[in-house]
Amino acid sequence: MLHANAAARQQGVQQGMSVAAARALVADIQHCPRDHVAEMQTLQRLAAWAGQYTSMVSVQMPHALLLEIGGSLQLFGGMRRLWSKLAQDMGELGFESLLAVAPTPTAAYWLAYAQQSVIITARAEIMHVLGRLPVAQLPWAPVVLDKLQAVGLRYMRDVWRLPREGLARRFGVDLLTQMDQALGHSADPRSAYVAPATFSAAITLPAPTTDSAALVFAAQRLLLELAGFLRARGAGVQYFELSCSAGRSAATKITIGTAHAHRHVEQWRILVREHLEKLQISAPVDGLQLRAPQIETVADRSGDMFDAQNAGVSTLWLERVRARLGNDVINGVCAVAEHRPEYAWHTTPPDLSVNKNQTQHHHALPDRPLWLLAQPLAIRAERGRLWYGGVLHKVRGPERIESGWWDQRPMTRDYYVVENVAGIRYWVFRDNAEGRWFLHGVFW
Amino acid sequence: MNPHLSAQATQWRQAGVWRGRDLPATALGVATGYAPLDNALPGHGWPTQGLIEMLGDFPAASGLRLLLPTLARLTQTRRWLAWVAPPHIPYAPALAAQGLELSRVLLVHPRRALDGLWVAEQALRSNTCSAVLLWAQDIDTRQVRKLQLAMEAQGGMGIIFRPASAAAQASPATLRVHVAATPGGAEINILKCRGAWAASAVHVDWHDVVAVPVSPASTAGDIHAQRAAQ
Repeated sequence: MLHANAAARQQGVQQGMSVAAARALVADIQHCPRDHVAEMQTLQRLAAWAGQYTSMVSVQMPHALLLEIGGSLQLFGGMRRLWSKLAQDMGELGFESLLAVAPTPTAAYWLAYAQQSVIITARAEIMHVLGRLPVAQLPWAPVVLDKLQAVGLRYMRDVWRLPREGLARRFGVDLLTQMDQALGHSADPRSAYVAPATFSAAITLPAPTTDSAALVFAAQRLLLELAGFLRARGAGVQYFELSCSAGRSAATKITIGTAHAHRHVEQWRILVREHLEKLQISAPVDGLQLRAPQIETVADRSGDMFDAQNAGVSTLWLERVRARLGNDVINGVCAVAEHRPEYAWHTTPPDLSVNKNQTQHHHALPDRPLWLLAQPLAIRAERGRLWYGGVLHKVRGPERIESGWWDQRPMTRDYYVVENVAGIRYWVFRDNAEGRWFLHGVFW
Repeated sequence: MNPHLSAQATQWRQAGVWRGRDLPATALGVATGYAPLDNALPGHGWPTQGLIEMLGDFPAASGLRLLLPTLARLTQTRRWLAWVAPPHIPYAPALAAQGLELSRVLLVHPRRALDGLWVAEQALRSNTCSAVLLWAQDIDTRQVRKLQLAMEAQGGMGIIFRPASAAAQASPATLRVHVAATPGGAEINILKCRGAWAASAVHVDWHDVVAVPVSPASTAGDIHAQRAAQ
């Protein structure tokens, strides 16, 4: 037993017990095997995420990360701030963490391993603080620990006092080297973790759920991780895929895209929520996976909050609308130099940045109606008069609009501006091929 | 203004009687482009705070037509002009001819009426729209209030187009007008106007439009300029 929840602990289940012993205490205990591979992968993902705090992150197996923070202190506003930011950010990702700071990586690791959440800033302090650590709490091989305890060495300060030659002979040169590295007496090179080129992370839900709020909460952790990953390399993404796995049935995949590449978690979260809320979940979801196959470089700070308050904000609500109602519900428009009324405009992707009226040359068309009917409406023509909610009088016309043999949809129409007695002004045409009259637009 | 009415107003004022439309609290509005209408509105233009309701029956497009000078002006800023659930195609060549910058125009066609309301609310709250136009056949007082609240939270104009029959319903909108076509123009009845008593009918002639100047009260700054200023 590595961990037990509160209910299990209450029944007497303890860390270090065998599964059989735990089952003897609680007959229906649920347990899952430790997954070393997943643990290692998680540690590596965290290393990629931690790259946002410093360029030098190294993985200390099996469950520690070493961050060289000397160069980051100024950027993050000092030791205390960086400390609390790290602790908070780790918590938001869903991890419990224990932080320790020391002038050498080995000393920091020993402190964290021994669960001593302390900050040492001066080299001279290292020996004193480490001296209080019980040797049993050091990351050394059990054989070494047994030998140390067998000769009555209980604390590190007892070990410091012994002659070096004797230590090396009895416990191995390696132990001596580590002690020198901890004190900063000998070099302690670490290899920096190199993050993969694309992002992929998965999360297993504590319990399968169909509740979209719970899924959004879980997804947020993946989004935070993605943001950290991207911040570490001054990058952003324009889209990512979120898969919801549900037991053995096929995973549901959602692709979430934004107008610009960025790394703003709040914007993503809003879009993810929209998608998840409208998702038809057939089976309880037990895991989420987030993949961002395409990482793009974005300008220094523009991926963060800065971007959200600027260009991103003008399109965020459009993305929300698309996420909820579908991609095709929202469009821009443009006018086209084309004499057939139906084809004199079309929809475009929304884009505030181009001034269309300046870039497009409009032919000096005669009056065109404010509303165009998508389908021309047949109207009555009787005794030489047009009727639509009363008699229609001609104001202007005809304007002949026709297209020739080259066209897929040939037309010959005579357009008139007409008005009813109430003063409502319409655009009507006579289809010269059929000889029938149609209402096609409204001026006012 | 009718000199007789002015004289009467002065008399009333001397007698300690204030007319609603003289209340100083009213914020300056956005010029409508039509002098008779500007004079009838308390802020001398469309209110910039709160919802405007345009009542009128299809097929007339008079209400929309009345707004065009203002909309043309608003599209000069770098903000969206959202058209939510328009009953027909807002015809781009005509809009461009009326001076609307088409790159600002967004057409939203939700499949359900309720979605239209939601989109309008999002658009209003986004603070990225110079104006949001919503066509709603069937909308209740509570929903109008929701939009009104969204408007009060952020800037930009909000206009709902509703059938004339909606006049029977109470509305929290700041301004409520009924617009009907007349030969060559429109007749506007101000049904409700916060900060003023309902005035008598106003008549405008489409030919009498004047270009809408840059209004100091216009809430519609460039998004980027506004953000930079903050």
